[in-house]
Amino acid sequence: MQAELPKEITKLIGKISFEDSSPILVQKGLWQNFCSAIEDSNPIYWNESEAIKHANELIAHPALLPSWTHDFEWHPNRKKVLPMQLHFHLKEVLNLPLGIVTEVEIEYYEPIKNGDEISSNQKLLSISEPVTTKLGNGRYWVIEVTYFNQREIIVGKQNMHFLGYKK
Amino acid sequence: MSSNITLPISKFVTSVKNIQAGAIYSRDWAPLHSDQDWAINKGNLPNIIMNNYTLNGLVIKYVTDLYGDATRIGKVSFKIKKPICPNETLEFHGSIISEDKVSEELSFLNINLDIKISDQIVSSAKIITGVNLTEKKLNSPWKIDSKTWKSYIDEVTTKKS
Repeated sequence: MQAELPKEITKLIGKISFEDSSPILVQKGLWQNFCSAIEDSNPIYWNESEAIKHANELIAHPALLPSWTHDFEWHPNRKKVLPMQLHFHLKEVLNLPLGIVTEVEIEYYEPIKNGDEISSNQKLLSISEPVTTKLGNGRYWVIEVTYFNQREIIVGKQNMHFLGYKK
Repeated sequence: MSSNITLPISKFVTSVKNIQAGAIYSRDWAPLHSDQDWAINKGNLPNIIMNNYTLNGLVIKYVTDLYGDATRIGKVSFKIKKPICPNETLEFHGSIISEDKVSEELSFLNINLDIKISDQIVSSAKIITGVNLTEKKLNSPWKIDSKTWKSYIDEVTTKKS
């Protein structure tokens, strides 16, 4: 069944195929607004004199790591770059117009701080045989995203499990 | 070391405002998280739904609220079983599955977490976190360099599997 996959897709497995640069510097205003939305009072996100005991300065909420590579919704000089381009590429090539995230695994290696510049690359780890689900017919796939800071240090890694399908 | 310790339950009430704010401040512009009209009329959803980042934020908050500001999260994995909409009370039910002590002031906990609405599990998460369970607070887990930290996560993940 795997042979039914277009060559365009099989050649992507295990290889870095898309890269995202940092559209915005990490900003404490953004992460503190996020912490406010979820009512997270952890002082390492808010209070410099407390944070200094742990990491020399404030730390961005870890849940936001992937968001630092998301493009602006609107930009004066260019079109928006979609997040998870590889996912959209797979949907298009496989003619599976709908997609959902089924599982997320994320590892955090390096604390993210104010002023950091986060970039990422995407790699297709696996793609399933055709499946029939309640939502429709499609395939599952897993994309690994590796995140770097401006010093090229890997700050985290995320595996996203998707179902691409059509009704 | 294997264990099964039930952790305290915490609650979080969702609203249109906190679901929208969670999405917007995580730079997630997809309309199903912030545009009620789109979610109901075009997304075929009952309302806007919470995005992954906000849910992950609440999972991390559950752990750091329990173990304090020196808690350093190593790994989070979660599955979303039902969409989370506004005006719901989320209940976080956690338990420690195992504890691995790597130094006097650093232990890694494997935590399983079920997030429920009215006794129905809407999401399940697994967390690996570094904590200092002693009274000594000299060496925060945040001071460990990323390479050593990653090796700890790999080791705990391998043991777990």
